[in-house]
Amino acid sequence: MKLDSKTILIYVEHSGSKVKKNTSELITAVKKAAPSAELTGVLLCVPAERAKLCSDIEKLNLKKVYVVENESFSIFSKENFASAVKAVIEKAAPALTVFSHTTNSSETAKVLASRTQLAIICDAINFAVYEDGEFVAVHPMYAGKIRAHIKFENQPGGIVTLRPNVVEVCETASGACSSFETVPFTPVSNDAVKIINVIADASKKIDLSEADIIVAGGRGVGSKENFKVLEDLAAAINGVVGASRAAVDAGWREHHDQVGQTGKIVNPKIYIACGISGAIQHTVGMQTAKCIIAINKDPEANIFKIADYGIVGDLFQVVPELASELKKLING
Amino acid sequence: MNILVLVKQTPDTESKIKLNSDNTAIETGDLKYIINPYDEYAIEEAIKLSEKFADSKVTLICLGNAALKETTETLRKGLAMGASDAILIDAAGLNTACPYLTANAIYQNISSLKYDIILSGMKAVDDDYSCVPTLLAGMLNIPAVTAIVKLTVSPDQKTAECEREGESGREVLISSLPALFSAQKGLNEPRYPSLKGIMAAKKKEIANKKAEAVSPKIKIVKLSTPPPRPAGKIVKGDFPNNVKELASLLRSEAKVI
Ligand SMILES: Cc1cc2nc3c(=O)[nH]c(=O)nc-3n(C[C@H](O)[C@H](O)[C@H](O)COP(=O)(O)OP(=O)(O)OC[C@H]3O[C@@H](n4cnc5c(N)ncnc54)[C@H](O)[C@@H]3O)c2cc1C
Repeated sequence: MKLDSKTILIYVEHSGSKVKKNTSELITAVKKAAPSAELTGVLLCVPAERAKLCSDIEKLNLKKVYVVENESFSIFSKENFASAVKAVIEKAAPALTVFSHTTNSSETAKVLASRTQLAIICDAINFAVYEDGEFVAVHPMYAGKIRAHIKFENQPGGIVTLRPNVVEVCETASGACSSFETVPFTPVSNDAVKIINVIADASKKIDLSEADIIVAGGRGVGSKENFKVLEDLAAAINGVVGASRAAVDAGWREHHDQVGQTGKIVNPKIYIACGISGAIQHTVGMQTAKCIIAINKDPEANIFKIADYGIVGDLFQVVPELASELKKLING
Repeated sequence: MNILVLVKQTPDTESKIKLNSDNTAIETGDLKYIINPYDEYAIEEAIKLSEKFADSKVTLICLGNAALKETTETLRKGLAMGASDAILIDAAGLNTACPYLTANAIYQNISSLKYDIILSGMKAVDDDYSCVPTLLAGMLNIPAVTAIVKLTVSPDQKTAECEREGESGREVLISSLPALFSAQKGLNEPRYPSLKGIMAAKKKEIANKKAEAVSPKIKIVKLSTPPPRPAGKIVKGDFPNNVKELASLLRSEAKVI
């Protein structure tokens, strides 16, 4: 599928009051691959949110933004969200629809693919346009040990999801978004599947796959209570706490904190591995972090092979000291 | 209750993956295979349900290369865990790098079967696409609830309550049946096959099926390996000087703080 000067639809992800950073990542990745394509956006929100989001959206510099407003969007339903995006696709006829590969958006994208018969490439880390003009998305396989360069085959259009945090956002000169178009929409009442409750988890502030700084602990942390040492370091540097499978299986952390092949794949700026040996199933989940710091008392630990900086020592000594040193730096 | 479980074999997660000489495929010669780890949770959940509801049947469905002994071994392991039947759809000649094609090949073989629940892993740890369950459910026109960590089927077997990790917390959902559920880690602890199970599995017949190829919607142009990480350094010195040094390197050299 070729993209030149065709329309690309960007799925605008937001928190209700702010457009999320991963939306800018989508725009950066698409612009780099296809500079001459026309970028439009799709925004789903409840009516009260629209005004709050407006200024953020204008900064995105999109040619046009299709807005679907509905009270039903206050609760996430992949079927409902997908059918709203489908309504916009039918209007805008984009060559490509781009989502962030986050928990909810990736689900929406898959349902959309299933409903529209559009081809989908999931969990890409990069886009490119080859010399012959073909759009290609790079998708890590085998937990990142291999990268597959994938194109759409005989398709008029397609859907692609981009892993959050892998693209460095370039700020573009801000110009006002030229137009908003409201798209009428009747929510789908899904009688087959109903959400009856959402049990909020107070400990889960931000999804690991979107975090900039992760302080991760393994079996070496020793107990649930001991994770406090890591929580303190994370708090000092505005990070979140992750864990190895050993720590999760021991019941010290929830499964959504697990990093690795059967947990989350993360790409933070800083990853501090404390008391983690560096088993391959763990490292495939964090080896694309920009800066890896390992703290382990075993100088032979595998984690040191992929770490940018290592400290051989007892984490209960090193981690609190590091927290206080970094706090000093940050507070200038 | 009739339960179908989608299973496949994947390279052992410990494996080093190497590319062939023209970067179009991986070298499979020395690879050891396992059941896709997420599929083990799906099998376990199906067997637990079959133990709870009388007259249940658990049928394993595998799209795989029938000529490979690992494919049959995967099914035998599932049978040994306690599944009743196994269907092997031969993937030879199909471009299974396209999730549509995979979903369609499975669809062709199960759409006429009787089922109340379809279970699968939330993704396969080889291609890491995670699309097949949703696409298949779309083709069958049944609901798909992905990445579940809990499943409770109502006594009348008409609905199921399940839980999954959503963005804003743990979602509790009720789905009508039939429906497809994909399994996330945490759903259960897969059992080890018993000796009796292993013996019984040896005698079971695996039904061999085929699928018509449909045209793929995506195509792999080439494979590559990620650039290796440059070697890092151990910050030398005694505690706490080494930590002070690390902090200052993070600011001056790595420029991340
Ligand atoms: C199919 C499959 C999937 C898997 N998926 C994942 C996954 O997604 N994520 C994952 O993490 N693992 C996964 N694993 C498990 C993986 O193989 C390892 O067992 C696990 O990562 C080990 O966790 P760990 O490093 O915390 O523990 P260990 O390997 O036990 O390492 C503990 C480390 O702590 C150090 N230590 C101990 N005390 C201290 C101290 N006081 N100060 C400093 N250092 C100390 C030790 O030197 C050691 O290096 C998977 C395995 C399989 C088979």
